Amino acid sequence: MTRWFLIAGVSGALLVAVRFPRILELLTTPAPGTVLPAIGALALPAAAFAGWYWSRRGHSSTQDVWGRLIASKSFLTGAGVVATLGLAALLAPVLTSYNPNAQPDILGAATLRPSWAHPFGTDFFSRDLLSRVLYGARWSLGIALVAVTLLVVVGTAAGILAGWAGGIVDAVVMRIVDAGIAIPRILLLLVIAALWGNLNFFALATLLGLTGWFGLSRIVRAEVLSLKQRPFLHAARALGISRRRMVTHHLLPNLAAPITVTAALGVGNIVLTEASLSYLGVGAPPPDPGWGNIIRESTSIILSAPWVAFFPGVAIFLTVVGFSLIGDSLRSALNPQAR
Amino acid sequence: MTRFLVRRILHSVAIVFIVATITFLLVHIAPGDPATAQFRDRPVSPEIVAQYRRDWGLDRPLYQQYLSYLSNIARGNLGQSFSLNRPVSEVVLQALPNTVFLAVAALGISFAVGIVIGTAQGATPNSRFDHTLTAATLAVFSMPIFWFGLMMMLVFGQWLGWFPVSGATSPVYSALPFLGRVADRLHHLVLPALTLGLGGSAVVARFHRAEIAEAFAQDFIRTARAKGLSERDVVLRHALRNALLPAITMLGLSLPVLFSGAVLVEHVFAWHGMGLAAFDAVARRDYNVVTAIALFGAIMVVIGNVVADLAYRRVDPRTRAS
Repeated sequence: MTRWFLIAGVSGALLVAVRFPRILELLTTPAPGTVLPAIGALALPAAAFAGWYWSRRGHSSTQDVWGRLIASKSFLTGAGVVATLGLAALLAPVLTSYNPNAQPDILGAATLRPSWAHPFGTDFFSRDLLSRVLYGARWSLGIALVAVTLLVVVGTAAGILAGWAGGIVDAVVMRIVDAGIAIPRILLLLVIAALWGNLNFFALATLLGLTGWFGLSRIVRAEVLSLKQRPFLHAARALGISRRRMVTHHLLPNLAAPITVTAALGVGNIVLTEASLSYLGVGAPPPDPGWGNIIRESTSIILSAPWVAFFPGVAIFLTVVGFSLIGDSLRSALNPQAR
Repeated sequence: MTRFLVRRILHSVAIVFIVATITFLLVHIAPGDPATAQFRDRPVSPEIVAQYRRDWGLDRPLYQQYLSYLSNIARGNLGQSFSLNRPVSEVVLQALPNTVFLAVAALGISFAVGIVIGTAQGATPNSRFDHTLTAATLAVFSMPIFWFGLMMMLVFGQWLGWFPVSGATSPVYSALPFLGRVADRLHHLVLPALTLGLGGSAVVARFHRAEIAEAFAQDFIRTARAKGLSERDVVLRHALRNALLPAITMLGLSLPVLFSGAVLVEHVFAWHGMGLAAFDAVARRDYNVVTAIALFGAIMVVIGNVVADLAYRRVDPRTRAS
């Protein structure tokens, strides 16, 4: 069932994109390559959740989880913050009339204080900061969502592989995970950035996803190892069901809780890491705005125009808080006895 | 104990070996090779490039290069820095003391502050005090560390003028008397160490709060209360002592995050350590230095984990029986 929702969602989005190129244009300017994530920012999680909810409609456990989430203040706060940021990213062209890369008056309008005309002020190149932060959300949130999707797929696959196969496969996969955790991540990413030079949107997202799955695979592996001992899996094996069905019908539903929680917390983590890379100058390519990028450009004028550094930092902060609240409340909703 | 130690060390060697292999592969699947990187901005004849490749053994088959790379690392030979024209090990060792200084100070702050906050929260779970502190640690945890550093710099360095905003020492450092030098170093250390340490303390506090709360649910706490111990003794001598054990594991696990944070904090405060050296090397595409620092960072993390494991076994009598 879930798969039909995904297919319908994706083809629907494609149809809209082909039929109304104007929407596409609005969604993508001025940072090219961010169209998928901009749509995905809202559509993907919503579609996944709707599909999951629909397929398990009527199950009492699903109702319980949903009931606990709706009753949780921190979930509602987090979801509200995230939805607001996602909408702001999508509606950036409606919310501001400034082009985030335009430099209208580099002498007269540089580093203006926040005012009615420029609620967040302007930066060193006289660009409107509100517009840069809004469009920056597309870059930062989009990267995080693509990277988290990748992280979840790779981490789950590696964890199931290691936990289920055991023996030498397990040893090799887990030593790779140990090594991946031992290298300080920023240093690893700096090595790659030094070797490859400028990275575009998808290269950076892939990179962040492929260096972020180690922790999840450990969690999934531990969970698979304990599931393996449970009677229902012995029964499933004794019935001789196919390996594929074993994974899709017996392992994945039981792994959904830890994976969902890790994914929610992972978005915040990736937003922070991406901002760090962009701050160091190896992330978002200038002049396109990303939150880390804007802070990087603000450091030379931080004493005379501190607001340029302040607002994008607040945006990152709100994103991470929002996803942390969602992740924490999901954890307690999915696993109520562990409170 | 010896068997444990041997197994643990073999395990660590395997991790370092995999890290070395990963960095080797990264360098070799990347476009270009050290020769093209070396002569990137200079027009040189193909003969010179070929000569360079022969000199550095880049014309040999990949497996031979891999083996000699590994044997070089094992002997502590990390190669030559292209941009600085010095051995990489010199560059790394020169930057090391500043990073260790900063990291140790930050680690001290994050565990001292984190454990105090976590204990206070865990002792009064679900009180208003607890919720306020949970919100505070979530807030610190959610700030990008470089932004936190910039804001600290702005407020305490610029507006209040209490601390210097950049560098590890002041320009007059070498002219100062001994005590003046110590004071100068510490004065420069405050903002970077607080930035890095408070960031870490939020993680420690969140983790430690759960440990304390779990300790409080145990029977020995009820016994301690029943025999009439003061609440202070119950918290400090019974709950805290037990909850401190997992904090040792946490210490080992927090090292990679600490290093990543140090790279950023060093950049914000122009603190000349390994992070800044790595960053400068990236800017000059001097990837021998960057890979060496990544490898070095991984080795330090692995050693830190072994030390944490040993400390754990020393402190927790239950692990000694096996």
